[in-house]
Amino acid sequence: MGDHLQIRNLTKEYSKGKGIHDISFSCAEGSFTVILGPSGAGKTTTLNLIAGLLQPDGGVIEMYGHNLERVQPGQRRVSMAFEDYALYPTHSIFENIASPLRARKVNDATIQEKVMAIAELVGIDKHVHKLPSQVSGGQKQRTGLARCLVRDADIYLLDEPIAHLDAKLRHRMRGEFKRIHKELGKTMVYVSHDYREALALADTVVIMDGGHIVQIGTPDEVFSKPRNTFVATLLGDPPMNLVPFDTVNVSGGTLEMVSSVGCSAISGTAFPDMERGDTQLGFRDFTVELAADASDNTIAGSVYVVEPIEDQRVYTITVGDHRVKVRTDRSVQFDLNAPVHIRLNPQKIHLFDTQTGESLEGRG
Amino acid sequence: MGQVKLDNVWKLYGTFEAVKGVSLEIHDGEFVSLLGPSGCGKTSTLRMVAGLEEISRGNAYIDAVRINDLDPGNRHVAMAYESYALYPHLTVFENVAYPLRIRKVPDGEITTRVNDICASLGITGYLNDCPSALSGGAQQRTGLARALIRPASVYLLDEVLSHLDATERTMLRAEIRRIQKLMELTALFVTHDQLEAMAMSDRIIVMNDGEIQQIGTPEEIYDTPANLFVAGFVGEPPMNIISVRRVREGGADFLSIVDQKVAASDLGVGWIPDLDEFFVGIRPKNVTLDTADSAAGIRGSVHTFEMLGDHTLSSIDLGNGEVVFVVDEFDVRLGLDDAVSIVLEPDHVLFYDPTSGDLLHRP
Repeated sequence: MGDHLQIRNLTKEYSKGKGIHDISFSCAEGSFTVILGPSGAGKTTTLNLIAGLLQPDGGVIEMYGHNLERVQPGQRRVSMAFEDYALYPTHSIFENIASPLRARKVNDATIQEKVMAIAELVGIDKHVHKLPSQVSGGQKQRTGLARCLVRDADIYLLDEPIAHLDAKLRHRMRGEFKRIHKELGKTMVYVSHDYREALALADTVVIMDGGHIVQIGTPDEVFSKPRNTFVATLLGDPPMNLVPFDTVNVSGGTLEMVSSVGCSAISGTAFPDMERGDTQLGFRDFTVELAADASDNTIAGSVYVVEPIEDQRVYTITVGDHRVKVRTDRSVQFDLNAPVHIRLNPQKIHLFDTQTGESLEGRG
Repeated sequence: MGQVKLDNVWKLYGTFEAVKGVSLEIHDGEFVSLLGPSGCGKTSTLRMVAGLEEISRGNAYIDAVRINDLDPGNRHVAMAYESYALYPHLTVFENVAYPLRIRKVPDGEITTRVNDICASLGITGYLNDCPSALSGGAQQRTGLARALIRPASVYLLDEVLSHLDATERTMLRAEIRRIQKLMELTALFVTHDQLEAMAMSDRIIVMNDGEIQQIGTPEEIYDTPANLFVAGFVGEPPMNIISVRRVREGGADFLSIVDQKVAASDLGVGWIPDLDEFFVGIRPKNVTLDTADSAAGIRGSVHTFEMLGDHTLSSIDLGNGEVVFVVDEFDVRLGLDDAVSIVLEPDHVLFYDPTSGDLLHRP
């Protein structure tokens, strides 16, 4: 065990400040790391640097403590699956998957065995005799994935490997991916812009934005203790609700908040004492309740719209000049424009500096 | 006024039957969605109401007037499209004002009405911009404003959210619903997205293969899908459909699922269909993981497990490729291949006919 892959201060500069800046993280042997971020965050650049497809402008990539600087891509024992799967159109699915083995002169019997095992693992085994033009986009992407996984490598680098599947298939495949990882037991670094994939698959989530690492943590940590409003709103559907207040005062766990539209008090929070200006209150839609009357720990608003979703209701509530989402049971019924009160769970609220977006948890 | 009635309406393209005997009613002030996969006949149905397609057979009425032979312009309908179809050389203001200009509405009134509708759709900031300068979301809002600005008996919305990104779609979905409610508009909305249909509608009409599968409130459609098609189409993840054999032993009924037998009385459902084989339908949210190893438990192993923030999703392998999805609390933790038991919440168990696929009703 120990660190299989270690990345220290990795930098790659493109024009106009693009690229990645001072990236450091490590991956334990056999772990599953998801690099999560919006497009332009530097996720794919990071992956290409690990693969050796790009040269860094600074920093170090080590594998088992060995600097990869002078190691050619072909010698790095990494295998990469691309978002654009680039299959050979005249080769069957089988031959596409087999191509990295053929290039290494692996014998036919081994190829047959390995290709079919991987094809079954990714659920393409019934289509191996077909040409790429005869299978769906999702099956093409599975083929690209199988071609990456069939190679005997130490680290598998996966760039949005299920992004092109339709929603239903993507949800199925996401679950299957963890099985694939368990079966193979290899170190995997997986790039995604979908927070669900990160939460569902990762041992460690590395969150990137604008070429920088924003937070590194377990799925539980990044979801329940976001370091800033970027992370808070990147994870979750709907994203975390944020309501700005002009002044915030915490004393002995009691939080008093004042804004132009009113004031509220929440007791029993875990925040340290503080007294400050522009602050955003954060809470997730499923951690609060709606009530007709004001009581302890409520903030006031009015119903903007109600949407029945499955066995629940999603209320959009206007609070001041902001809108927040609240999920309730179907039995909770309020009319359009009705005044309501949102009862917060004092253990499940967050505070962020309005200017910097940084979390104020654990700060005096 | 705003009422629509279709009575046994057909649409034929040559010998192809795109819409097969659709009958429906939309009441005044109601938001109704036509929901189904591509090719199900939903758009043809909408276009027949709009007058963009001829009605091959049957009768259509708006406000009790038969419209089969009326020109689109005389039907009192307003329509918004999937492609925004804006005039590229006109500003947002003039695009929205256009239906009023051709009706010779006075300038002062036009200004007031355009400003009002654009404010409720959140595009006041773009009034002097040309469409090409706008995001897809703002263009679609402009298209909607142009449809909603003129009085009509019924507003026809054709996949108006489908080109937008997820955030825009969720926002505009809520805005449309609010405006429709506040203005008490009658609306017929076409979509292939079950979540949109559920979130926006008073009633949903599910279509497949040119035929209506079910008409009901979002709750009715979700709780009691009329057949296996609706059960599979509405809800994500979709309803679990479990193949079951009925076995009678010693005067008692047992349900055989894969190779496990559960006494019908232990299941607590009170009634089972009088068939040798049938399907049990149950939503992933209504399957619970059983730690007590109760008599109603069905044994399996964890095939997949996902923590998704506000909930967890697992799939439990019962053997023979029979997999049941379970949506559970966010703090549940399961390991792959863990042995577990599942229990079906009896109030939520549905039964389906294996031949017709139809819901079997309790007597």
